[in-house]
Amino acid sequence: MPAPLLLWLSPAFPVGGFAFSHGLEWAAERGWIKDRETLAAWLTDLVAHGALGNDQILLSAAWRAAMQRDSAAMREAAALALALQPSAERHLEAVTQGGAFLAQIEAAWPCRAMPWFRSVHDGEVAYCTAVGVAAAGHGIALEAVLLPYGLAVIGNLVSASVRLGVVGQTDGQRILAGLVAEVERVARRSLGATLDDLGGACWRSDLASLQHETQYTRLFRS
Amino acid sequence: MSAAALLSDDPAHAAARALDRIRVDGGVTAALSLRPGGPTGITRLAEKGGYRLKFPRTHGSHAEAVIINTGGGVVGGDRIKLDFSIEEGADATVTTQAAERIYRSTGLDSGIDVRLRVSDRARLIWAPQETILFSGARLRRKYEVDVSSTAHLLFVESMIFGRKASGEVMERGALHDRWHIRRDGRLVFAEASRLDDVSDNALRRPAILGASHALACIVYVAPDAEARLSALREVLDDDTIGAASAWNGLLVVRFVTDAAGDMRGAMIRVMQGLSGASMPRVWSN
Repeated sequence: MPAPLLLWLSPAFPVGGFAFSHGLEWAAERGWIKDRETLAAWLTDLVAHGALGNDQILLSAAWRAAMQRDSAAMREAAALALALQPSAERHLEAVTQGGAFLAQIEAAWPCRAMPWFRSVHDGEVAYCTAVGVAAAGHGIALEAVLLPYGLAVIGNLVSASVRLGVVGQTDGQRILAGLVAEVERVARRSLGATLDDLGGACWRSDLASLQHETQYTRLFRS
Repeated sequence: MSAAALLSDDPAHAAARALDRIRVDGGVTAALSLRPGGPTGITRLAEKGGYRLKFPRTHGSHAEAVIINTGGGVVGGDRIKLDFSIEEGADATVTTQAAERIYRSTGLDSGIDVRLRVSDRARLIWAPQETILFSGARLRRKYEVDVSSTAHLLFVESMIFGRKASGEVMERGALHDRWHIRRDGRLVFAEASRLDDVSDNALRRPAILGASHALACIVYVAPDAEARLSALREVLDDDTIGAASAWNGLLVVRFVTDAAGDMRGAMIRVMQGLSGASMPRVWSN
């Protein structure tokens, strides 16, 4: 993996991912996820039919637009990544991490793609868009970004599940090991995909993110 | 025996030709405008392929329009276009006479394209009844919606997978449903639903529908959208089948449930709560 990616996608990179559960906290509260088997099934859906798969397509679109300095394509990909958020908290999850990621890149890893991006897109930025632009700006191949990005996001959700007490550390790692092949498959599919290929069906996960907003006791912001 | 006779004797060919004949290219194009000093009325209307638009009643400046599909459903290969413009200051509810049934397809997609425009200070309550996907249905639908920042849009969509009452098993099917809602030309909300295998096995996945078979999404785009959230949550009451959220000038309510009747009741409460308008009579049947 290219050196900057190791740092950018590490849980130590200050984007605040630890604060978000993508609705898992509600799913845990309702008992929909309660052990290794149920959590693995839920996360598999998010990769194959949910935002995790879509984000890889949106990241790819952002990467291509930044590489080609295609303003119209950049604006379209960035706007779609924001508009597809199903709830206030998922929107917060996307733009908090996206904004923090871009701020760190601009401060510590400057590249010419960044001022160009800021000049064509104004306002909030989704995390997947931010990673796509930064990777393009540093000349990192798209093939090299997608799998690490997918694993970082899913790793963050497994970490949240461990803190929610859904599974222990070791079962968490077993789940991640079992998901690598699926994340790889979706990453490969995303390489050749266009925005027309976007789409998912994780309706129950989307609803969980709305229900989480009024959950009585919460550790997470989503 | 001639080749033509051979073909006509082949039941598969006969069935394909029969389908060709009933394949529909239909829809409704309409503009609703505020008449000077009067109610909202129809100023442009084109009906095609078995689709009709009916105006059962008007309350003050508010008009109600009901789309009727005289064909009684949509089959594979049908191409339906619905296009509604709500002109400046006009106020309308558009609904459907019945739930739209998407029948089992022999291979072709049922295509539905909807274009909605809501101009300055106008209001559109877009409230079609449920879309029912039969086993084997292949629905490809697209919504392109443009709303002025001074307008109100209450957008309601609901879908039921399979005819549960008759114990239908979803064996296969496909769903590709894209919505784009722009406000003053800027994309503010998008939904991209896609399932290439609409079978019970896929639908029962835990993050997809679990044990549910009905879903709905209500999007309210209006200057007062975010301010309505807390009152709306009171109206929703039971958050196990649906919940609300608001951000960036949007209010969104989503439902996923195995109780389609309860969902319909909750949707009616949400629509009445947000619009203050009485529900079209077709919704109370």
